[in-house]
Amino acid sequence: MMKYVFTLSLFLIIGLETAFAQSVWKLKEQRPNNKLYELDSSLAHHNVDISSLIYIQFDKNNIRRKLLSASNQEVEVEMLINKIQLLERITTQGLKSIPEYTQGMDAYAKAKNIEEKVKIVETMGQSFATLALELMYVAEQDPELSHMLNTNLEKVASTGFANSFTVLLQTTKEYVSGLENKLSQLVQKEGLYIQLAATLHSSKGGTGQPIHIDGFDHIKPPEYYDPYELNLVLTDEQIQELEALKRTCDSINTIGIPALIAQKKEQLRGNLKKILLELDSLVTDLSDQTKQIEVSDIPVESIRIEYKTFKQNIVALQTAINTLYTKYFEDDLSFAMVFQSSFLAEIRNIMQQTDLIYNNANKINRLIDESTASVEENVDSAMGFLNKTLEEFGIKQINLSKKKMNILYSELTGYRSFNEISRLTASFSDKIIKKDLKDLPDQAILNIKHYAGYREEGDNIVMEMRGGRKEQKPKTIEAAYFSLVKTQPHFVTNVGIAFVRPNGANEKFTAVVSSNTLFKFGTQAKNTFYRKYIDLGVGINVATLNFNADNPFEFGAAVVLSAFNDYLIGGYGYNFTQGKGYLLVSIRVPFLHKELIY
Amino acid sequence: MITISCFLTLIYRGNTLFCLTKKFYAMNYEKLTILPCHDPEEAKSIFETLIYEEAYLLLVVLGKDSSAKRILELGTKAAGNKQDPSMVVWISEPEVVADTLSNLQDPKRFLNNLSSIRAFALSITDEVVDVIKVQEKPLNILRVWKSFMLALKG
Repeated sequence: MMKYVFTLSLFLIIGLETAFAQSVWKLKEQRPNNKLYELDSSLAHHNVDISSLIYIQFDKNNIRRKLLSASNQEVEVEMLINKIQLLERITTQGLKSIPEYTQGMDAYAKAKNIEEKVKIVETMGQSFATLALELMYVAEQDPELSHMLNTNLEKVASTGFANSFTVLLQTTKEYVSGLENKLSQLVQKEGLYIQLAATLHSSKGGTGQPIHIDGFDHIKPPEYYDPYELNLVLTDEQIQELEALKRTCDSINTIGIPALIAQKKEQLRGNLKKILLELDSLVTDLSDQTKQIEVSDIPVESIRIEYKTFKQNIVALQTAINTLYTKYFEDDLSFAMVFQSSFLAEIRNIMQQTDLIYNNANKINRLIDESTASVEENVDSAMGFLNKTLEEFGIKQINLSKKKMNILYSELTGYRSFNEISRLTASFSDKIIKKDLKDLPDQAILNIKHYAGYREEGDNIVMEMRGGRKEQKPKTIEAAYFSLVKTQPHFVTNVGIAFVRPNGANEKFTAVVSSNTLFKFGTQAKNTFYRKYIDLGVGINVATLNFNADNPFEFGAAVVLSAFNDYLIGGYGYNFTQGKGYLLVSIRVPFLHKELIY
Repeated sequence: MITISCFLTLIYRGNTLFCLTKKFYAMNYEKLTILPCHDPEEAKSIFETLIYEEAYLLLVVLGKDSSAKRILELGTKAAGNKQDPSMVVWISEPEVVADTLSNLQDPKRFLNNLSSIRAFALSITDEVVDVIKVQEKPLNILRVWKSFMLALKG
């Protein structure tokens, strides 16, 4: 009995440790230059080319195990899965430990004195012996494995520890493949299915665009779009930006930069205040509504527990909003303060609290739906009221606030951190096929190039696999997040404010609206640090100048160099109308001309 | 009838061959040191040299009954090849080296009752790390190999 308990706990403990360590897929990225890069499967987030093909090689055994783990609560299955994972780990690590041991024994043979020999054995045999012993302990609890190991060890033991261990590990592999067959039979009995979906999320927010994956959905791919194609025509968004820039230039030239910053500060302050007040009023209303239902009124325990947490989270969110408001809005809000990590941490805290409340509300509603049949009519009123409150009032608004906060945060920080990306999800519409596990192919392709449609650098793709038993709700098995980057040489067109100074002794810098067409070099390296942060460019700047205040339109062009993702552009140009050269410097300061909240 | 001890004394150390006793025991003599128990001083000296002056993982087999001989057979096989830092020591009459045995580092007190033990393993730092009991089952090569791995782990 004790032996059984020991084995069970050993497999459960070690199994839990390793259960989700392995990835269900291996990913390879094929960039437009046809080079293949293996993506690190231990990471969830990858920077990939904006026009790449992602090859997904499925680890069917691992998918099967994870699906069974997620859908089956039987101890026998759990133990079988854990045992396979444990033996696989021993096999993989064991095979790696053998060369180290062999190398150590070569050194042992050459060592001149006993101290040196002892040291070599003590250091270089450790992982070898530890893994061999782990295998022995598993075999002691498994007569079949023990018999197989013993039979094969008999044949090779005298050929040395290293060779013996190699044979033992090969025997273990054979044994594991037998266990996999057992699991495979269980899968057929259980009727398991999987779904694979990918969604493109624009860095500017909004709802995601589903991406077709051959063999996994019936989604119609959008029109082909090549983000590398040279496009000199400004987009609608860039034209709007130009108009905003024109207004900003006029302000700079008339009232000066300090006054403009003061204006923008007010705008920022106003916008932040607005969203916080909205959120505050929503939480106050929600708090008032839920005050009418005491925790003790809830008849079902699971809902009662969730409802209790929900109420606590509402109080926590109210506190977080008050803290942010009193700390940063009672005094003068400065730009420097906005980018302080403590300020951003407060915003993140509010976002997390909003998330928690949203999840609580969703869970409560789901639990109410599931338990309606079992709840007696006389105690149903509290539940019904709560359901109505959350469904008609709470969830939608919480979700809206959640999205607004997310956009606000992205605008403030200017980039999406991985934590934020990981909040994005793939959408599983009815067009996503529920695929029987036995029909799962060895490989699939996430074809960003042909099936993702219009996209820009900085957008993100979430690919998610989920599955379960046919009659059960699906569970997420794994997700991968891809941030899109241009790794190939290309042209970009952008608009911005430039400060120009005509040639001459007493001339001053004036702000003008300009457009840049820049050539960007490719990044051959696997890491995309260069593209994200350095990103040198060379090209032409075209500006509408006004050297002579009387002339309504003066045209100039300059040769420019850009760096740091176009945040700094400089060059020398010529005003064709006035026949005069000029120096040009452009610093991209997005919050000077951008509205902070969409 | 030929006894294993007198037969072994005829054998030049370094060869591998089959040895005849009442049963067949296949042993790897490259990996075996037999203590000359008829000469207690010499036996003690060889044993202490192996423990304190050589860097080996030792499997020390005690006694001369059939289970000891079975362990000898399995042990010399499980001890691997020349490259491995392992050695089997056979003490047919343990009382001859009783002093040395009682002075061994044995924090888990494995050697408290010598009569119940058929073999034990010493790590590279000369610590007792495992014992094979007289009645232990199953007694197979996997079990003896485990002793060497415990000795290697230390």
